Amino acid sequence: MSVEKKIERLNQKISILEKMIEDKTRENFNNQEKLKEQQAQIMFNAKLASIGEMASSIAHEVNNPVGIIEGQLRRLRHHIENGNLEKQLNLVEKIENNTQRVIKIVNGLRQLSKSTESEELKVISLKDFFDEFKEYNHIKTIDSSVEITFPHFVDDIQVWGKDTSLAQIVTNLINNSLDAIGDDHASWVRIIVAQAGDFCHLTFIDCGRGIDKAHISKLFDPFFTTKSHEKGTGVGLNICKKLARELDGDLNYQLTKGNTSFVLKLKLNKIKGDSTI
Amino acid sequence: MKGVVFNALEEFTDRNYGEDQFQDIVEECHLETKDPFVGPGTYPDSDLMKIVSRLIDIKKVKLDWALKEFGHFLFPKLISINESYASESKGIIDFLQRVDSIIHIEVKKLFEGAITPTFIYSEITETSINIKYISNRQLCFLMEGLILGASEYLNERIDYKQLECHHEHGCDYCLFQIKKV
Repeated sequence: MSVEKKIERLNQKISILEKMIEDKTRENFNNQEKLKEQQAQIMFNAKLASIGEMASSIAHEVNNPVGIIEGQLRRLRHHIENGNLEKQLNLVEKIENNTQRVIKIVNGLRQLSKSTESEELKVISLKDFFDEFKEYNHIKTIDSSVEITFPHFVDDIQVWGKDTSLAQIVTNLINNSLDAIGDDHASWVRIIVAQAGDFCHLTFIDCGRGIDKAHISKLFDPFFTTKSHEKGTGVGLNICKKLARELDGDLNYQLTKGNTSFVLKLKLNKIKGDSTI
Repeated sequence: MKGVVFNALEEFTDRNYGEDQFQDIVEECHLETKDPFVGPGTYPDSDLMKIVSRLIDIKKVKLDWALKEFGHFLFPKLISINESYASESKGIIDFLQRVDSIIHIEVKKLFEGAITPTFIYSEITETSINIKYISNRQLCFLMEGLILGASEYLNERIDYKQLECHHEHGCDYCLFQIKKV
């Protein structure tokens, strides 16, 4: 075969390979686009699931004050009929307080339904965050016997974050612990706060004895779950890690003194008065 | 059959039977494939068989011998795509067991459209193994060469025989017995 023919064959091969690379690149690009769409759908579904969970706990929460209001209104009618003004005013105040409670609970749901993307990074007081969280985000803790210890703040710590993302991460981590350790009086979950350099570490420790070594590398993979189908879809930790990274932080698993723990790293706000970026 | 096998056959043919021999055969065979073969491409099995048949005709060698020689030559080419498959194995018996459970799966991921044979293992000991080779291509002689290539690559001597062969017994599989020596 002449040199010219060999060169011609080689050029043909190069053209075929170039065409293959071009096709493959296009295919990969299309796949990436599909993957992005699927990831967005997963995030959306997870948000719906969170809203569903929250809605059920909120229904439970709202029912109590509404029940009280109903009783107080009955008593108010009775006191109006009897003309007892002092008791009337006292009941009106109680009704106002219970109404405020319902409003706050409903606002909690609105907060969760907000898109985290449209929300700007801002300075969050962890003390205020956990105070509000304890009040309005009971989620699965309502009927749980598990002892949950929230962080105690001598001095407030301020971090950069988004209320919605932070609430979603904290809710998810606590719920994961509750699902894993079971509802038992001897079970516990603790959230410990510590500062390390430019970051604040929120460590969620539970009484579990660590995660199976074979599962550790897959923990943050989408759809990886050891829970039953009724309890989990396996997207929670994956989404929490993404949300934490969106806040310039991170979420990782570690064993703390033999117990299962997840460390949520959040960027500290060290400059006072700087509250938005 | 993947282009990587055609490319190896071209190298094997030219090295053993003279430069340009492969291209001469390709031109004589009126293959379905008109373009040059490239590694990631997928081509008709019949093209490979036409080339091999023509080669054995010209060189007056037997088909089983030619396929075995080619398999022997092909093994290092294939394993060079990912040498860890061999280097991570604990020897030839372990490696052969990885072929169906790991290598064939990875090949299918790497080469779109790749069709691999099925291996069913039995009588496994530290020094011996039986492999039932099931493939519509019925290239058991090529497999003989690949097994020899693997044993040479892993520097372990083996004895092997086909206890049953599709070409001899008409069964739909070939049963290999491989023993370390």
